[in-house]
Amino acid sequence: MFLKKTLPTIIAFVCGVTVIIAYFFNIPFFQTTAQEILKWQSVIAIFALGLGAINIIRVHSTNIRRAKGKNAYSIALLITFIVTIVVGVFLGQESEAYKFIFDYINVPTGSAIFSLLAFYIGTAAYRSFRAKNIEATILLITGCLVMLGRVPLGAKILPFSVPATDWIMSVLNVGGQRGLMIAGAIGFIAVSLRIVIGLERTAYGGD
Amino acid sequence: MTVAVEFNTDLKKEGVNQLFVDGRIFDFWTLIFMTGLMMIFMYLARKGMKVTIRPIPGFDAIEEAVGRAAEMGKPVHFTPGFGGLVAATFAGLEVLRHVTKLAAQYDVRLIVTVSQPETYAVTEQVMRQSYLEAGKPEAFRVEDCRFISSDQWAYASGVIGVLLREQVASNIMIGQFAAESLILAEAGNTVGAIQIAGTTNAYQIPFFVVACDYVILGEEMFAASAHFAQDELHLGSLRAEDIIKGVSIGLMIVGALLFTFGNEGLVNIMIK
Repeated sequence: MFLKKTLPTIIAFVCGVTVIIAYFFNIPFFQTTAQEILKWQSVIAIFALGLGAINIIRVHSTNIRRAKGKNAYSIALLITFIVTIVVGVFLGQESEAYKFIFDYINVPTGSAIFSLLAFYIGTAAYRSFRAKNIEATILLITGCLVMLGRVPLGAKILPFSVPATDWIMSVLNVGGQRGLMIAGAIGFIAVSLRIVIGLERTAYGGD
Repeated sequence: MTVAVEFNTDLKKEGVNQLFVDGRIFDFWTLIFMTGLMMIFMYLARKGMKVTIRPIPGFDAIEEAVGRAAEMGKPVHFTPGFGGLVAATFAGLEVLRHVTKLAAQYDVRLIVTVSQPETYAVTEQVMRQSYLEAGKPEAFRVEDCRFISSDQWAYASGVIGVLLREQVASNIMIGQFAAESLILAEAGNTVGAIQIAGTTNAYQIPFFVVACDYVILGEEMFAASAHFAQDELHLGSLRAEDIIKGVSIGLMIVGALLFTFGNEGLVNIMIK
């Protein structure tokens, strides 16, 4: 009970209060301690990365075992996982082999996934731009107006769309977003306070 | 919503004598006011003050989502997003506790995907504990809590893979999301899953709104613990948050009026 509940709450309280004091006050002891706490945060995250790596190996080796070696994705993942670790550890991150993996495999595949966003915006817009009710109709009209206002041809087709778009983006859009941000920030502070005083049990992995 | 903070460890060398860090006096008293208000309302709630919270459709739909998965005999997918251990992730994990207990109750397989290693460690413990609290510790399968990758697009592609291969019936995405939000939501839509999403990232909320069945908007997420547990301390803290929001709106109106008429008094106080 002490190790699982009380000790983590004490540690969270002490670390949280130290960092808060260091953020507001010019007190050398707290400034130095807060900096150390942030360093420790990185160290603990590295240990967690080890746990994550073990999880990847466990999940995909189970997949391969269950599929009797026919799960191509898990086999490919484990092979690339091991190859990248071996190259990174033994040849170093500045080596040609490591740069090759990063520049010619990691970056292009990441870009490919990111590029899917363009198509998904299209399909999501197609589904949502249907005048099913008043809200959807407002979304449809506003969406069309902003699209027209954002392309050069739109100004020729409907000159009114350009100032209307500017007004929608700078007044309605910014106003709504700031409302969300301010409310989110207040909630953020409340959750952080609850964690520091030990009320948010999820932060400690549940009760 | 993470804040990168650097501390000045060379105060003596630089001859800094003032007690407060420059420009943080108002922030400090605001924090003290908020903390005090929360303490007061938590105390009042514990003493019996009645606090009710309005129904949040996204939270109410979670049972429907898990029930649908039970009827279809397919798994439920949950992800707390791309964030590390930030407030939005904790709010997501609070929802995960509830989802895990429901999954245990309905005998539904729950697959959780995580992007950050530190979040993975906490997520696994939350799942394990929730299965235990639901009275079914044996239902927890370590391989169903999956660390995908801390690389944003590798995480996105990993989650797409899980959604498509496992043919999930319900997809719940509550936590910190960035540009991958629409990619995940559209992948969930492709497999015909009922989708519940929530994030505090104002830029991603529109994507969730158009692609998901239910959306938990911004700070509604932080009401998760009060909503599910109905615990008086959480409810009291929620009431204090509402009052703080009211005060913030009042300050904005007064500030806007004063500034419009050429008075910068409030602005000068706030930047101190």
